Amino acid sequence: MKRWRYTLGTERDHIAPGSAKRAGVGALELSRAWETLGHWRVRLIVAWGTILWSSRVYLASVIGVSHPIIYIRQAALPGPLGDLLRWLRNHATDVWWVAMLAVALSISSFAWYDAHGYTVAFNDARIRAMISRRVVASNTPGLAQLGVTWLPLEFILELPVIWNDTLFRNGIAASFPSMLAFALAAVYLYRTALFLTASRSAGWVAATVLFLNPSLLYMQSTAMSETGSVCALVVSTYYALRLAQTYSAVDIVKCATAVAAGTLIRYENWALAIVFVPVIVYVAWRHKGYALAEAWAILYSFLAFAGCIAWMIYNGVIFHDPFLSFFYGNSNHTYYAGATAAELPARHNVWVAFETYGYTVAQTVGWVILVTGFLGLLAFILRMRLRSATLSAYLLLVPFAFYWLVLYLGVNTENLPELGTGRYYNIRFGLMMIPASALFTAFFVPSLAPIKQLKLKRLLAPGALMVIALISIIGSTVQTPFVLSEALYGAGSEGRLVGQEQAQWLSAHYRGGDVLITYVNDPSMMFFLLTEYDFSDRALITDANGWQFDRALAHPETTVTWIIMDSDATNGASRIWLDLTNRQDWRNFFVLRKTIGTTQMYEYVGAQGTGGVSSRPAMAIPGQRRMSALLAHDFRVFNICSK
Amino acid sequence: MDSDAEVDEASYWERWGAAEDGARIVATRGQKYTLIFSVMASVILLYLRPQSVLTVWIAIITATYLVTGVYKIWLLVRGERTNTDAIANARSVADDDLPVFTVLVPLHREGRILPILVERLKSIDYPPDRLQILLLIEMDDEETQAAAKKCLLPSHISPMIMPPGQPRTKPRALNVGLHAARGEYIVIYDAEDRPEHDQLRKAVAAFRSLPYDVVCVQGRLNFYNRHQSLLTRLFAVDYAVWYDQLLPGLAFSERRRSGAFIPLGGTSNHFRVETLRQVGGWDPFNVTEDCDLGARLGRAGLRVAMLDSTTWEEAVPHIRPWIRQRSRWIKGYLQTYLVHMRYPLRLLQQLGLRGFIDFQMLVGASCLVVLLNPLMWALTTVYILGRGTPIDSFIQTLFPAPLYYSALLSFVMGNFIFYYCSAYVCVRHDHISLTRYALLTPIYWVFMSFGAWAGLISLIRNPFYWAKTEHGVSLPHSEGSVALAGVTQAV
Repeated sequence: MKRWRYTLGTERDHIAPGSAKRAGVGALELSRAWETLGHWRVRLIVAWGTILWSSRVYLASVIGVSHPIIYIRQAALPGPLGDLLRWLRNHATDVWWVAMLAVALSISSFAWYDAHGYTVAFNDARIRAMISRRVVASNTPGLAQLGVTWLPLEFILELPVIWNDTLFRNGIAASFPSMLAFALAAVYLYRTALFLTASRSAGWVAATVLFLNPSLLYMQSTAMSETGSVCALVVSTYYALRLAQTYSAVDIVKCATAVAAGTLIRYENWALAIVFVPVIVYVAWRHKGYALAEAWAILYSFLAFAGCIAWMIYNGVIFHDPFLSFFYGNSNHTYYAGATAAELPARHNVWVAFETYGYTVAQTVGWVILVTGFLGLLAFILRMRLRSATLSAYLLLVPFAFYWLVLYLGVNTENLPELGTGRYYNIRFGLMMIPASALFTAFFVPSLAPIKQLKLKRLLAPGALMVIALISIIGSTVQTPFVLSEALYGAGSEGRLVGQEQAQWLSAHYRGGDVLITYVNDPSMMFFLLTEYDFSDRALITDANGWQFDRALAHPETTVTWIIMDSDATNGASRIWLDLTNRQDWRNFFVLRKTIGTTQMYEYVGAQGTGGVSSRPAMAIPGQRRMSALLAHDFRVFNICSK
Repeated sequence: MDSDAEVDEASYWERWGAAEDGARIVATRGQKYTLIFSVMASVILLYLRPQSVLTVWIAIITATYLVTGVYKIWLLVRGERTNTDAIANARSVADDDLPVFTVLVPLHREGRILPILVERLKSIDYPPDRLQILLLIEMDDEETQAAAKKCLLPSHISPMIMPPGQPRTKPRALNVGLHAARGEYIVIYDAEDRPEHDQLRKAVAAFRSLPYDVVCVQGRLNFYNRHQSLLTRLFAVDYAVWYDQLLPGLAFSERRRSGAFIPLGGTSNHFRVETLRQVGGWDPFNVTEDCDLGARLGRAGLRVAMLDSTTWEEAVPHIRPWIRQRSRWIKGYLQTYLVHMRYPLRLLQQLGLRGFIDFQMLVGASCLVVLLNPLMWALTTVYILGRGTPIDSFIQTLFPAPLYYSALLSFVMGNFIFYYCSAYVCVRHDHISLTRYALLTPIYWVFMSFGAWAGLISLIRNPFYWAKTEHGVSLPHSEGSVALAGVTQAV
């Protein structure tokens, strides 16, 4: 079974003999990986690896560029190859090719980043990977485990695969929704460009810009939600565009379904869902007046906002808090309300807000694509203006307006060292502008064709595709994908190393029994315990286990063998820390074995003076409990709201 | 005519009076014993193992909801594939080639609406010399008879007085009319119906274009007074879902095989007369004789198609008569279910697995679901209001994990999909003015459950009672007499 690859070589001396195998000999230490590139041998190795990997991308792009030619010429070959090519010619449409290429790129990209341990480089990626898992494999499994600040759709999509230990531990299960979304986004962007321009070349340009974007290729390899959000945006825009020409109720339903899916992936999409309403109403009103506008608005809103309402009902039922005030208390405008001007330089400054998000977008999509996309947008505005038939294409620009506004209002922030605003933070917001850049670049290419002086018009689309492929290959091989910079060097990026070290130490000294720990404060440690050191999901009693957690906290000496408490209150103070530091009773049974970072690890040693570490019979790792008994308390298991 | 009718009466009494496949016997001895045994066994087990028995019941109910929900969603999706089987060109058959068509209009206390009905029947676009319209009037219905005498009736429209006898139901009158029919095809209209003018031509064209085993084409029904009240609007939404989406989905999925089951609508179903006579016409003891006939056609290996033509009906605008009407429908569905489930294996053999499933879902499970809905709503309400109390804990113990999630899925997704589907059908089939009222569909579901329970009680207490729907209530009070005056002046 393959493991997450980065471990701490410096701690190997402390690893118990039985655990040495688990540590993953020869694995790459993450934080030093990029620094060590300075050495010429390492450079050479990395360069060869890069060439090998990029050859896949290159091959894909070459097929993308030349596939119509290959298609026709090679189909004439005799023998099985000819049969295959003839079959492809008859059955494989462009959409099929786009889907196949996107899937191939998705898998290759996942394999590459997974091999380097980057799929869980984001702190959030590690936490997200555990959420779906605990629905099926924690001490208190059940849908109530979905209840966190993040929206649940991707976790629900993971459920069919996350129960499998192998797929959970190698990360495929957690990345699966993003990979699926990536392929879907490529297909629908192709269809959108084709629908708008009636040009297959334009469709290929759009799809290529999207599926060769290094940042998106990285992000789709992780459990992060941005790729799903990009997919929802693309699919909903496509059906909104179709709707303006077909006036079909089915297209409203499909558009609203995509929007609803988006609202269950990221909160930003709630704003997007609202923006769709006036567009749909306008199209209907232009077509048949008020009555149709009202009917369409109802039909769209009914479904598009169903996810938001369901989520609020869910939170009302589980937490008695439909608006998740615990979330607002920690992570958004309330959190940033007290921030200083230095911390939020874009707040109430239109230009800095624009510059911050604009620079993020430019770095994410690349300057060349940004320029061609902008020119394409100008061409689109000049040709289409505000025609109802193509109005929906502007919806792809909504993320820009949204994030610009968010930064201006100071509801959230983005940090860019290039602009002197600190370590990378939230730069992944730029991913949402990839579809717009791709679509308008695609619009730009055929818009050049009517120019009379332009020679070699037929080479326009293949040329564009080649340039895009080249830029993307260079971008993804020479440079770190922009969003990966946040994971590697951004704020909080050291958390994974500390978590790794903590997990490694505990696994070396663990001899059975339950561990009292909190998700909120030590997710990285917990993640590595589960994925790399084969800890049972049920060996961890956490703040997501409701009454079991309360009982363990009240009497740790009778329930657990280890207590992990973290004094860091960045994500909210640890309940274990708050409770146990004010009490003395448990100290008679536990001793502090290790402090790593802000986390203290206490081991059960029995009543003081009655023995040592082994005086208490070793507890077996808890076995599988009856799900039905646990689910009887489904609605009461999660205690985040009480913090 | 009277002697013919008496002969007809005698023959049909012989056919239906003691028929095992008729509704005169509400439940056979075997069915009664099975029911009594099931109830007694449940009560005893409930006493011995209350929690286990309740959990098993909830599991059965949840399974019913889930299976019915999935089935109807499948039908809705199929309905997207097609609107009608028989998209026929009304002018594709030349006038000279048109066959004789019989129209049966059963009437009971319809004196007020009769003049308008006559005008509508006169406006049917079909050569009068090939049209036979029979107004089927009960012998003791002096009001309708008097109104008929006052009207100037063209030669192709003739009143037909029903012979004395029991049961005095619409299907019995239709059987008498069928006996007297001289057309190649026959259609049923209610007193308040307003069919599209070229519907008969379309039906003929459809029959000519479809295989011979398609013996019935069903027109779509909708309401001309849909905007009269909130109830009529909700009723219209319900009809749109059924006739525009579900029924075409059912007809589409069944059209390539014989032995399918399609519950027919009460009116605007056009038949081949010869085949209809062969299958015995309508069961006079069944209060939804149309649904029963649909099942019998399926069992005989015959098929039904949808006709691309709408008949506009009058929706019941007030709640009490609406519940009476709905109670009759549910009672009839229950009758039909009991009749055809007397020998389930034979039914399975005759309808095939797909037809059997259709029958179970559309007749049995649909009735069961509307009957169970109030119980499940009450349980959900008690659960929500009783959070943290012993009731809450008790209800939780009845739902082990798989059952809990299945029930939750069924409750949330099932209700949402059907709720949303109402709005969708309104937009999809161009009833856009009704879309906003589709948001009130859950209120309609409550009314349906009232009607269902009333129907069940009526089945037990008075199985053959025909809760007649009053027609003409949407007309301004003076309209009937004005129309009547117009017709008599023409005399």
